Amino acid sequence: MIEALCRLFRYEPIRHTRGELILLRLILGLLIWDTYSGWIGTWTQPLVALEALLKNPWSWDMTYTTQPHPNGLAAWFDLTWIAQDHIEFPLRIATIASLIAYMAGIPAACSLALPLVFSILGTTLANSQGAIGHTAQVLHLVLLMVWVGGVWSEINRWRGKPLPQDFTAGQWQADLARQGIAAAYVVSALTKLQNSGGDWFSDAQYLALHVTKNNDMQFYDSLDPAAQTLNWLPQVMMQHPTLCQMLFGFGLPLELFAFVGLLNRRLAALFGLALLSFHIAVTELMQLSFIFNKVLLIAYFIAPWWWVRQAVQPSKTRLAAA
Amino acid sequence: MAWFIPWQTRKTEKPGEWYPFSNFPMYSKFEPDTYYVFVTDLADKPIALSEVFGASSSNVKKAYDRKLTNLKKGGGSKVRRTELPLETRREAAIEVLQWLAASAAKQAEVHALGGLRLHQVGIAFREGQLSKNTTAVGEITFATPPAPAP
Repeated sequence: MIEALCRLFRYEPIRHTRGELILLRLILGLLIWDTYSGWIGTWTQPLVALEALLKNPWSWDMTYTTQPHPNGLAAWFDLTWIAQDHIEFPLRIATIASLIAYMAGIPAACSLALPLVFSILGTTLANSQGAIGHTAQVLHLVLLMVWVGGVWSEINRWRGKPLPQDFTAGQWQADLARQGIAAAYVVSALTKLQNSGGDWFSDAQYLALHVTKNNDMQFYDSLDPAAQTLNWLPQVMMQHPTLCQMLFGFGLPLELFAFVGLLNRRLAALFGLALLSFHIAVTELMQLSFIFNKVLLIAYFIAPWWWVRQAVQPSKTRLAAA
Repeated sequence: MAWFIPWQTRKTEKPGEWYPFSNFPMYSKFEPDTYYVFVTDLADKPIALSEVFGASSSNVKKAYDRKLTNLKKGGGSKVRRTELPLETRREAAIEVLQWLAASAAKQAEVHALGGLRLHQVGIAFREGQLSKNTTAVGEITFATPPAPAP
């Protein structure tokens, strides 16, 4: 039993295969591309999604002329210049070109520099309008980590030094991306503990009110009556508060201990699947998409392609590989 | 970063928020009541926020919430921000509506409405039932008539 637990929690650096790293590049590139095209909203209709991917960046537009509530770098610099059409448009198109270069295998230190600057400055400006959005936060955090990993790799290569754990540049960047995702979850859990005074679990019974709020807000976004199909649910939830606490209570320890998922493939998959399930439950109940969180968990933590390959690979080859 | 962000943002309106870093305060505290806002024309007909303004309900609520917080701090009031006097909330609502109208993706469509009204909906659980209470908190009218279509 103890041996099994030791094996489960043993640190085994996650060494992605070359194929996986290519896939991770494609996924990250396409997710960033979505922030200038919104193609993911139509992913179930591939042709419509492809059209959005190719056409929307040409008409995407930031209309901000002021930054009345400066956030992040906007507290130090005026970022409104980035929304001026004669600057924004060429930068956006150059960003797309850089993303294509990244997906084609150009080192992240070069190819992700422009997407990083444009994404973070643009979203910082948007967040300086009076309402802070968190939709792409984890995605931009991953972008930052991968770029930092890319620069670090180049510096080490130039100095002739190996990367930590003898990682390749791609493996190192993926490891840093995972650390960024895990850190975001841990911080989120600590904030819940701090802001709720430790009562987050018991107060989760009031989640029903937020389900009502979110469903109604979703309706007023589009006036689509489909957003109100779950109107019966909050009353049921309030009548069964323990159900709410059980359902959402498990999210807190998952987030708090998300860093355990960094130890090895098994734990990464375990925490990845659990957090993905949590996000899916929240999406169903509260109509909050969490699309970037979900895809990043699948890509960097769960990595289903690796497990499928392990399952179909003959055991002898596996043994030889090990 | 673990020390820089909290220190750098300690005196800002949103401590812990420094893009792309955040303390992720969403749903960190559940209370027995909450609220949201929606926008209508002056005949109280709801307006699809994302289609007409290119904004989300969530962002409009955050903007209103922030104005209320600032007004509450400025006035030194001890009541909860959603229970501030209607006159104070009206001030916040008008500022939000002006911001919304100014940043609207479809300017002509917005001006054709003649004006906008912000409604605050309180949600609470009382006596075994979920209850909603809607209050019109503020409105703006557009002085200039809509521009004729080209």
